[in-house]
Amino acid sequence: MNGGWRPALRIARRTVRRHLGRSILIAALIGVPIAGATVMDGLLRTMTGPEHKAYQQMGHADGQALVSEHTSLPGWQPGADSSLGKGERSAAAVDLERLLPPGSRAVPDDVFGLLRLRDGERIVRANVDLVPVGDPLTEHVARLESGRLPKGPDEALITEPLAERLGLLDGGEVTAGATITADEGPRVAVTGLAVVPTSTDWPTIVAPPDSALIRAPGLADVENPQLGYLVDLPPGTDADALWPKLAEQGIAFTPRSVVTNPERYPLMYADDDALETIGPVALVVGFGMLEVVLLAGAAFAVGARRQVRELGLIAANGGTGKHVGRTVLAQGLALGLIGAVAGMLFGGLVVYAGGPVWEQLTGEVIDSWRFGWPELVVAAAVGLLSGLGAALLPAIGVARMRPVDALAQRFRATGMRARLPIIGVVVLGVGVAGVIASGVLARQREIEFRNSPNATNGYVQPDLELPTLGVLVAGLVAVIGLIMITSGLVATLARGAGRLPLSGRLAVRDAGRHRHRTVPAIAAIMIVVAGSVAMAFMFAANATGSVRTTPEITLTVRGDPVAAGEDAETRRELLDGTRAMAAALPGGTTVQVPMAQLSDGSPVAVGVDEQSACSTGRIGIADPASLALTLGHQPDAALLADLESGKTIALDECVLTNGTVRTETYESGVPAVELPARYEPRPENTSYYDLPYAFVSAKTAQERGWTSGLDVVAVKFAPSASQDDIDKAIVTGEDHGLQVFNPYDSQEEVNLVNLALAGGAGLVTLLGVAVTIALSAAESRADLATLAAIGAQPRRRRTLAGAQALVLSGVGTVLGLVLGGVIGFAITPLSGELAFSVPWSNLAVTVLGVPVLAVAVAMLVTRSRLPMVRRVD
Amino acid sequence: MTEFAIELRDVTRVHGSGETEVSALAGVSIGVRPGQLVAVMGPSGSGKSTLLQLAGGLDMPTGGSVHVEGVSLGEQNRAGLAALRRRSVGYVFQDLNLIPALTAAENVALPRELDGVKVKRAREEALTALREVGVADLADRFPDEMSGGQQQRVAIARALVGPRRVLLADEPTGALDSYTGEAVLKVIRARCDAGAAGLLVTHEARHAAWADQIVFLSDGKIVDETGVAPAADSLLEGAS
Amino acid sequence: MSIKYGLLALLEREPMYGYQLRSEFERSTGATWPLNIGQVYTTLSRLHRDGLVEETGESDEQGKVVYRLTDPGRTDLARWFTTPVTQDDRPRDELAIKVALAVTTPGVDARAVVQAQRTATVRHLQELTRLKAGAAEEDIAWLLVLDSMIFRAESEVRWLDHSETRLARMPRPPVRPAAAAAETTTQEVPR
Repeated sequence: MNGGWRPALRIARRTVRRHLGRSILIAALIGVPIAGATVMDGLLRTMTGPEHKAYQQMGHADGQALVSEHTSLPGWQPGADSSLGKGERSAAAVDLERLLPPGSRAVPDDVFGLLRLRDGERIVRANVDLVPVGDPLTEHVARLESGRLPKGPDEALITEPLAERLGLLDGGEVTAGATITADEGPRVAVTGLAVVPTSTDWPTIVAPPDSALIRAPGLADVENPQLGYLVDLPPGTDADALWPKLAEQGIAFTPRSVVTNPERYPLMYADDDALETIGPVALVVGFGMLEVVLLAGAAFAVGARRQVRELGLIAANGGTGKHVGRTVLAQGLALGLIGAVAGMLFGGLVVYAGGPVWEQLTGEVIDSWRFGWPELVVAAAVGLLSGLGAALLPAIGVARMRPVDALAQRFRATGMRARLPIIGVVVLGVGVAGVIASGVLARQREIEFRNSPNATNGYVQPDLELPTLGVLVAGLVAVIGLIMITSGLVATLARGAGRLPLSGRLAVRDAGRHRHRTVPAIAAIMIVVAGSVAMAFMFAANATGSVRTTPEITLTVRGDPVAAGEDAETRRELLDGTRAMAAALPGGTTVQVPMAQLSDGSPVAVGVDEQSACSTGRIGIADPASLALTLGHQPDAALLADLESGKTIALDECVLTNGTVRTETYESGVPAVELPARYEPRPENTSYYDLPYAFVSAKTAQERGWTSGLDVVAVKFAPSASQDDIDKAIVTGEDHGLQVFNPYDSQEEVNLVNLALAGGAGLVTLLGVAVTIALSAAESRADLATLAAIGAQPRRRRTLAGAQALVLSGVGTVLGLVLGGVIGFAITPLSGELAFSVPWSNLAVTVLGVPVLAVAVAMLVTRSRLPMVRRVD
Repeated sequence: MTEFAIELRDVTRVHGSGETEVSALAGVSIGVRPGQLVAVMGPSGSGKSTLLQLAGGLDMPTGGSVHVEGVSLGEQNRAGLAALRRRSVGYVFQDLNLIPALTAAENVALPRELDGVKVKRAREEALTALREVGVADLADRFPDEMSGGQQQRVAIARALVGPRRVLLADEPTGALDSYTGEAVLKVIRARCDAGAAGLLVTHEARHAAWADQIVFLSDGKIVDETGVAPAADSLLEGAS
Repeated sequence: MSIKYGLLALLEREPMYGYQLRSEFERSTGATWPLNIGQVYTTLSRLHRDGLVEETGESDEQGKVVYRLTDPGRTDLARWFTTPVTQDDRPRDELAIKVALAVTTPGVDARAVVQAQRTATVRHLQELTRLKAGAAEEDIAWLLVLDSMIFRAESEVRWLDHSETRLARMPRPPVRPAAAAAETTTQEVPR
């Protein structure tokens, strides 16, 4: 039957060209998601994954070698612990290159540290990368951006953010004769600007390994018994045969393949986060494709209708239904192909052209883009299938028509007699039941998991494969059921439309009579609303898990981790600095938070079992101010009495066992102490990062031989402080060398996501409504001309468009809301949350916003002119 | 002047310009009084449809003037013309007259509803109009449940619903068989006898014969016209 | 056309005498074809001679002879009804000849001839239509005859329209016959 395809293709080609507008629309509908997939693929492949990790870790080197102080490392394997301990020999004395195959190169690996710089009165903290910059093997650590490479230990490079902070930036270069001085340390000259590819926005000093800066406090006290090297092996060397030999020599060699193919090494664990992302991604891809198929299908349906006469001619001339259907399918194929290819090209273009934007967003340098051809082939196939899928039902419908009817363009009137089909209800029921069952199963598994010993083990995840699959499949079934019902629903609505005002009546009846295009559009809107509602539920659940990490209107400040000198000096710096911060804020006061520590200064914390899911923290020494700060209110008499009597006040119930609390210290060797304790609740949804988890009275601390250390001072301010004031205070603190804990507002991120969801839903709705209204206008030219002849006001056309938009978006939104709620319930535990809360504000925005937006745009976009010429296309 | 319900005075309609200029109508003058039915005959391309479009304000002449119930169409803006088509003038086309999504009564009530008349009153007026054309029992049927002749009758009812007194018919029988077509013309005749003014465009003499006056159009000009014919007594001379 | 078959058809209904036949005939054909009684009796005697009718032997009050149909008459009538009228039975078309001649006669504006005829025919059509408007629905025979005349008139109008278009596309009217000596097909008709 090969002959049947050629005329079909020819007709398809010509039809596509004749109806260019509609063809472009369909191709775009198919292509845009593919473009998005291409962009995402490019980003993911380039910026994540084993290759990327390997480059970040060791650049272009073939491996990293750690020369230990041991003459031999028996039993060492790649992936084992990298701190090898002190040993018998000096690591510096080992000539690594002699132990490597001839032709190899070894270059000192990056040594990372933190440094305090002094800039006049200010303290500026900077990172330090000690590495032979300029060598091809170290280009992943740092590269020269401008100026020249440092030539000796008294020269160094700095990154642009640091140069800016120090005021050493002149145009794109560092000012001539610039120097940096370590606090109570040496001074070096800055010879140029460097770029750190993995973190372009950090303030960093890049200096040679023998830089004078290693004498500075902060770097000097770092003990490193082993020396790291980046190794370049001659081509063809088998790294896996090499590392056992080197281990025998006391050198721990990690070949590149340990990072790129970790599954080959028993001690490495493969990153399994792929599975967790596959679920939601598959969900999104699946429904995205459904969306495309529906919207494009609506466009196809109209096209097929218009073509009916031509197709009837084919039949009358001896073609069979198959030939006729093929013509439509061929169009679908063609447009699917065009859409897929165009989408991929466009996506690739966006990725390349947007390079600087991506670099800015991620703070990394992107040297070259990588694409995953397997995924792209799949995406192209998906595009093709979408095109075919969109054309499928219209093709079948047209192929089934009797030639006689086709020639007369007589459509079996989609009578408004359709009832809610039983099958549809059953399918919907099955789907919904499946989704709910999956959700229940997921909850069950999550709860089981949380109670299991694996809960705190970050590497193990609950087994959610089955529920994920269940939601996917059942969700799809439910959607299909809803679509089947939608048809009957629309017909029923159309029957009862008699009481509506004119535009409403016309819109509802039109929807009922042209179900071939309104049902796909409604389904498309329904799916996207369902998706956005489900996501909203999921995010609402997650939001309830988000906590405040600092008390309100408070900044918590710690001393400089690289500070040198005794406690007295750091304490003074902390107090001075926080006082300066308080002075810079309206209503600013400082609250000292004394914490218990051992005589050697190591902190005392609340002890928890290894298996427990409890979080733990330090024990504080109670005083009215810090108690009030942590509890959020003044301590009552009972609490104070308990403290006086020697009881420990624990702020988390789970650390209590039988009315006692265990202490522990970070140094082993000091026995744990058990204290009588009671529970005092924290303010809701708080988990203060820097404040104590439990309190004892000063007397109790003294009894235990603990001293009071001041590591944290809180700075409270008035609510009237502006963000500007707060930012200035933070800078003041940093200038004093302090660490100011900047509370991370996850709420903002949630809001952003919600906005994106709403935006996405709105966009697809608009698309669906626009497509359908455009198609409807094209199909009803005759009616519009009649209205003109009767004397309808030109703006009636707008009102009609608005009414149509309302019908489509209204029905779609209501159905989507219901479906989305059910799905939301199910996927919440899939994302690791058990709480269930209704995001009322989100729902209101969606339910009201989507139809309002649809109506507004429909009315804006429609011309307020009625066609005067009675032409029937 | 107001004795005419419709009047075209020296109307010209030219399409395009320069090389591609086409004159659809050139200096046509026609007047229709209330109670009168005037037929315009001519081959296709003679400008008949253009004439009808000009008569109802769907198109504007490039020369001359059109008056409907005393109102000059040239002085109206788009909204005014639309109002005219709602309240004074009704069109009946060859086909696709009715909006498929509305019942017969709703179709007839449409110009009234568009004019802001309350649904109940509009429906009453619609039923009256349907009765006058003899299809009151089809009030709640949809167009695809009616025959072609019935649809045309409903269209005529709509053209004359409420205050409308002017009927513009463009080949109203074109899509009907001759027997049904005749029935439709009878209805138009009856409405005109009852006081409406009708302008009928057709290329079939048999249908034009129902009119009081017949005008022949060719290449945009009137080439001939019957006067208003006298009543007939006997026709014996016709037989041979 | 003779009225022979008209009379036979009437006698098929019931036996009648002469005057009765005449009035029935006129009624049935809508007075479009009035007969005089002489025609009736002449035809009757011919029919009688050919054996298609016979006298019943009865007389009415006025002593008129009543005729009725014979079997051969019935058969002949049936045959007439089932045999379509052939083209040769139609009279010569004076109009067609007139227009044809108008085209080839110099100094005659053929288009004006056509248009004038058309207007007249259309007026005739109007009269016919008016009559039809006044006819009752049940008067089917009358309506049939009316329709026949209407359709004939209309077809004449159609032909006239068609001719007018043809004439419009024709080049300028033919010049004097002397200059067109090459044309041998045209005939000169003195005016």
